Amino acid sequence: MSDSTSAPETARPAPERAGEPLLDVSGLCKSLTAADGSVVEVSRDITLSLREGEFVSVVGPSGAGKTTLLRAISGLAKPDRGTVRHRGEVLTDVPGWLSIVFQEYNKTLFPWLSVSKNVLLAVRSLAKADARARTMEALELVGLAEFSERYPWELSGGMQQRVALARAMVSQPELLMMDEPFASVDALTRTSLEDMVLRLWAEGGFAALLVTHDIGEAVYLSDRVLVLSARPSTVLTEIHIDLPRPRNRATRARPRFHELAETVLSYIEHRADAAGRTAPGASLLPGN
Amino acid sequence: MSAAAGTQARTGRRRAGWRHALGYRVLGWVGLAVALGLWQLLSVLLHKTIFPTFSGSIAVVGELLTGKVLTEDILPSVFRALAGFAISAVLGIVVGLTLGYIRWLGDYCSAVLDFLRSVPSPLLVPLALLVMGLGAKMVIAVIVSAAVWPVLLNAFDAARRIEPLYLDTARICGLRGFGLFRRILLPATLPAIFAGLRVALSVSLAVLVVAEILGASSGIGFFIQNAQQTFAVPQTYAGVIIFACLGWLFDTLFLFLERRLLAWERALAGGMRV
Repeated sequence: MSDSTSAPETARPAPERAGEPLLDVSGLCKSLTAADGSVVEVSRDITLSLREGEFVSVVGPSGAGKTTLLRAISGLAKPDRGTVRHRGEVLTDVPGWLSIVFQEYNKTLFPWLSVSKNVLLAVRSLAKADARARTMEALELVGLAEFSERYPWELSGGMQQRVALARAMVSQPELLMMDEPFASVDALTRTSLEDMVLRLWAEGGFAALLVTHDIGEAVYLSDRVLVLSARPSTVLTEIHIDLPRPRNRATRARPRFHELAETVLSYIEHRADAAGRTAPGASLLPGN
Repeated sequence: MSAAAGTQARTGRRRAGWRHALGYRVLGWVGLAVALGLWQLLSVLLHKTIFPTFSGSIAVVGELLTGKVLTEDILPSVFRALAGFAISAVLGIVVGLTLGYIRWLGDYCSAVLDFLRSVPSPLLVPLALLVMGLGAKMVIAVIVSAAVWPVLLNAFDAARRIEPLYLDTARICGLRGFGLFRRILLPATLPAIFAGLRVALSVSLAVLVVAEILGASSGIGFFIQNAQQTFAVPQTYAGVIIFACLGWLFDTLFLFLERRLLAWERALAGGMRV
């Protein structure tokens, strides 16, 4: 990475600053049809809610349908049952106030468009000059203004994911969804990307829903961590992350950080052992 | 890792590739010269009426290109071939992408398409003559009936296999309808479409001649057949040479265009990080 964006996250009120209810997911079920035609029940009865400006992560064992859940919530896939409500209104299609960053930056950035045109795509509805200004602003936020006329495939993986982040930011979303956004980059890049997301979130005021298998990442970034059970998944528990903000490298050194990560891990491991034997949502550990 | 280093490596590779391409091209020209020399040598040695010399044929080519054959046969043929190709391209791209993108519609039409494309286009000449009579319209229609398929099928296939995340991303960006078609669907499938277009170009030229021989009163095909029937042997050869040069010219122009439009694709395929 050419520049490390380790600027401290701007001060932000305690997690309780989260505002009005933003998103309500209730009783969401989603099955997928495998290549051989068999139907796999991936998500069973997922209920969760998100408040304005909140940072929530969803973790779970691999194959728990984290991506499927994210797609169903965002409107990219139609849930089989259950509803997603945004400020009380039922969601039917991918809404304009939502941005998503995927793991595979090489499949979400269009190789035939320059970096700036990739970002511009998300604000086509605006007047041209306005859209251009916003695009450059977004690229500056992720430190890539000077690469605006390059093509995505000329950039490193971490830089490409920052372009994807800029495109997610440029439409000024109320909610940013991220599907394993840092899983395809090296460890050093990942840390700096995490801090960049924290900074953007602190400055931008949007809510964030992160899907990840990296427990440390979830604890480091979030106000709350939701733990999914193995497939068919339900929300096992919700863990409040009471680490102070702003968070930085010192946060990871705190004993409380490790306690919380341990708690999350024990839920995941226990459920993997006891899959199907314990009632969903049963309290296995004292909450925090 | 850094973009600058990547660009440097890329220009380096491009330069080396250029030298390679140049050497390759020079060798190709040498081979052509040798082949033409052999033609000249053999025709002089054999001294047969049905095998005129290369120099003699080329002289006739010069005559034809400066005479009224140019305006009465060659240019009309060029126009027909290009018109047929252009119609095939637009029709093939629009129909192919639409049927490929809208899955159920594609399934619905697949049997009809399979049937239509298995009809050999020369068979359509009598039918086209009946409907449209002798002339350019008929020739163009027959060209389209053959040249549309490579484009249509490639576009169809590419639209069906398009990266799903491209479509998801487009949806998140609020693209739909024509915007989705123009900005995502078309560029994403352009490499496959170009492969189909290149085939369509050579098919257009081949069908052009067949249609002109079978049912036209002008054009290169008509001219060549006429020359053959009146035993104007050098004229026949000259017609073939002109036609071959046209084919080569179109293909070269086409490749030039493709290289410009699909620079990103070559960069991806050329070992850049994907």
